[in-house]
Parts: sequence; structure tokens; C-alpha cells
Amino acid sequence: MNCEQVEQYLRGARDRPAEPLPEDVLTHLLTCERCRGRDEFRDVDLSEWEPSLQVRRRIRAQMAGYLSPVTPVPAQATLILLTVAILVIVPSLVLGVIGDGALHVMTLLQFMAWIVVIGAAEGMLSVSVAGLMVPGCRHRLHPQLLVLLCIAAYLATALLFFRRRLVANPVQEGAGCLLIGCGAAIPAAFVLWLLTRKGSVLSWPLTGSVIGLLAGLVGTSVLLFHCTLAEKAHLAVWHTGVLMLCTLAGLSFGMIFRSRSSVPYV
Amino acid sequence: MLLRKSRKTECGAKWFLSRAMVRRTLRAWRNLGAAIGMQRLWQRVTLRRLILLDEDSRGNNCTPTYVFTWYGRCAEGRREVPVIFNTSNTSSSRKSPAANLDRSVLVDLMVRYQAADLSAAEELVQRLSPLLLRFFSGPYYTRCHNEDLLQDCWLQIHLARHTFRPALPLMPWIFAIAKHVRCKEYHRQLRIRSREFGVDALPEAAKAPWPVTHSREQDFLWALDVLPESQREVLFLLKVSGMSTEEVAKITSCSVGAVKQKAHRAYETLRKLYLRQGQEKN
Repeated sequence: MNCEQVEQYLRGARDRPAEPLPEDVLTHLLTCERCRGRDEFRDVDLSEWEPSLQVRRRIRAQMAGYLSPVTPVPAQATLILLTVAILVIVPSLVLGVIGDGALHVMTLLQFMAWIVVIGAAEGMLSVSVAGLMVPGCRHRLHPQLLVLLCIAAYLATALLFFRRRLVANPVQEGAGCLLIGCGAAIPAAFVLWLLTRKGSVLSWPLTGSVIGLLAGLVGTSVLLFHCTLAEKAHLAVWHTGVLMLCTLAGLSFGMIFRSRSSVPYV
Repeated sequence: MLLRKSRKTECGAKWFLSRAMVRRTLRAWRNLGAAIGMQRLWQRVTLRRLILLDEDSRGNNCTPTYVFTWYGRCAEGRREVPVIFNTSNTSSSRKSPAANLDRSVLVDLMVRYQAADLSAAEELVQRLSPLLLRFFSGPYYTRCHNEDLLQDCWLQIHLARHTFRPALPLMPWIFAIAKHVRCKEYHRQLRIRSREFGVDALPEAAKAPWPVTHSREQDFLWALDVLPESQREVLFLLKVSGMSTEEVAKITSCSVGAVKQKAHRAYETLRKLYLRQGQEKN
């Protein structure tokens, strides 16, 4: 009997703890230290599970090595306000550079729909980012679900509130919007990443996708005031594409960051 | 505290209601996930078993603790994921060892730890390590492995200590980090298992070129080093200690035939090595 067979037997034996071990399993356990280590978990008295002195010494050494006073992170409300401030200041600065001349192409209803959707998405994502920075923080809505809901809401607004009409060069116009949106998203993503680093992020891919979506929303906010093509297909494909592209980019960066961040043992 | 299978009769209606509630909640979540197509691709939660921590060895009453086991999906199909979530039933009149730890004392220790007080950090480690070690314990990990996880967890706690806010409870913060450490370790193990597999005996080492030595003893010692451990052991017991085949069989827990086979293989290997040496010299 080899280790894998013994492991399979022990896995099944969890449901019948009173049953004695067969002879071939016992023979293997006598010779294999690794499997003996596993078997010690059967009917073990957990109250005696104090860490060994050696481990406590190692933990003490690693704590003492890097021990310095730290300032606790600001309250969640402060973090949310900081995020919202970034989401307001960065598009304002970008619009100051590229100009805003698209307000006249939309009706008041369309404009209000955009403001409500983008504002609500940014608000909820800000709360989510503030929660992701602190371990054990409760999320009323899972960030993964929130990301999908925000993209879906944006797409639904584009499809419901705008009309289809003929555009001369749809790809050329769309590519221009995509470039402007992603260009505006980059500084926002960078500043948000700097803010997030103040906390302790446990799931970088998730945080990356949320930051990416927030940056994408900054990009679409810029396009809202800059793009003069208020057409259903253009908004659904290219403006929503900015959101999706930024979210995917954030997810990818998060995965890269997770794979590269490793904690050294002291 | 003895870990044992829970029974409905042990805690009565309270336990049953809690279990029913947990099942209902899980089912609702699963239905919601399925309805909106948000089921996780690689994992799905299943209520595998409920383990009740009833009473510890010192006679202290403990809160019934529900242990959920997650199932992961991988290339080989359904595989158990050793991620255990303990959710204590706070409505119960019983108290767990964690409840015996005063919340304000723990928060005070954590605040002092944030202010770089090493004695507070040590006190915190002493108080919380048994709970964390219990959290990491599982049927497929050795104690050494769990202690490594514990050390990793404390390092993560140390690096993230600035994110604890004194106004909030400490335990969710600590166990969120512990859960992250455990999940990370599980994924690491999964990666290792997908690329490596266990073997009964180690493969023979690659044959190194014969070293330039000036004595027959050194040549012989080098040749012995080339032999696998089991063959070398048999050869040593037979030829150096002068034992019989039956005695060697008893010592090595093998049959007499196996001992003879190992000795034969050792002779063959040595013969080939010396032949090769002769050819190289010629």
C-alpha cells in the first residue's frame, strides 16, 4: 500500500472513526512518517494544540525584527470620501485639458440617467474598495457581483435611453472614444492603486478588477462630457468597452501582482 | 476538546434549527447564484458535514461550531478542499474558548502591538495561537505543516496590523487573514499536486563519472554511494555486520527473497561500475 492509497483510506475512514485500521494500512503507517503525521489527526485532543516553543520563538523573532509603531488606517468613511474625491478630481482635470462640448447632444433625461448610473456605481464601488483594503470587512454586496452589475447597468442605460442612427465612420469614432476613455482611466487607476496600497489587500485580483472598473467609470465620465456621438450602438460597444477593458486590465494586473507578492519567512 | 461527529440529539432543537437555518441560507445563496449566473467557476460550496465542538477536556462548555467543507473542481473531477469555516452560534448559552478571551483585553493588546509593544504582541500570540492552530488543523496536514501556516499567518497579521481599527472587533479581522493564508496554501498544494505525484521509492540517482581516486577504499566508498539506500543497507548488514539473510529480512521488515534480490541488484550495480571503471582506464 502506498501513500496515496493510505490517504484514500483515511479520507473514507473519517466517517467511521471507531473502526480499527487494517493491517496493510498499519504496516504502511509504521514505515511512513508522512502518513503517520496525517493519521495523528484522527480522534485528537485539540485542546492540547499549543504551538511548539520553537514555532513561538520563530514568530517572536519575525515580529521583533520588523516591529515599529504604525498608524491605523483612517475610518471607512474617510477612505470612501478620498476615493470619491479622486473620482471627481481626475475627470475634471482631464476635461479641463481636452474640453467638454457634448452636453447639448443629450436630453435632460439621458443626462440624468447617466449621472444616476455612474454616480451610484462609483459610490458602491468606493464602499467596496474601502472594504477590500481592510481584512474581515463586511461586504453587503460581493465585489465580484457588484462589478458585473455596474457593467450591466451601464449597458442597459445605453440601450434603453438612446436611439439607433446611422454613423459615417463607426469604428474610427469608436476607437477615438476608446483611446480617450482608457487614457483618462490610467491616471485614475494609478492614484486609486496608491490609495489602496495604504491598506492590506488580501485579494488582489478582485481589488484590481474593482479599481479597474472605477478607473473605467472615470473614463466614461470624461466621454459623457466629451463625446458628441449619442448613439445606441456606439455607447453600447465602445463606451461599455472602456469599462470592460479597464476591468480586465485591473484583473490582469491584480493577478500579476498576487503572483509576484510573496511573504518571506524570517 | 474532542472533535467528533455531531448528532441531532446532542443539542436538541436549537442545534436543529441552526442547522436548518444554515442549510436554508446556503440553498438560497446557491439558487440566487444560479439565477443570475454567478456561480463560481472553480468552486462551489456544499454543506458537507457539521462537527460539533461540545465540551473541552477541562470541562468547559463550548459553543457548537459548524464546520463547512468546500468542494473544489479540478481536472480530476470533484476534490475536497480543506478550507474549514467555523461559525460559532452566538445565541447559545454555552461559551467557546474564544469567548473566554475578553474582547476589550484583546483589543487593548492589539492597540499596544500597533504601538510597537513586543510584550503585547507576545501575549496576543500566546492567547490566539491555539485557536488559529485549531483553525488550520485538518485531516490531511501534518502538525509541522499547520505550524508553518500559523507562522505565515502571524507574519501576515504583522504586516497588516495597521489596518486594524480599535473600534471594530478583533476576531473577524484575525480570522479573515487566517482564512486567506489557508486558501493560499490550498491553492499552492493544488498546484503542486497537479504537477507532482508520489512514488513508493525514489528513482536511482544519475550515474556520475567515476572520480579520480588513488585508493581502492575510496573507489569502493564512491561505488557504495551510488547504490540506492535500501540496497546499500542490505549490503552493509550482510557483508559488514555479517548477518544472515533471515536476520536482515527481520530488521528491514522485508521477505528473505526481497533481501536476496536487493543484494543481487547491489552486486550487479557494483560489477557494472567496476567494469566501466576498467574500460575507462583501458
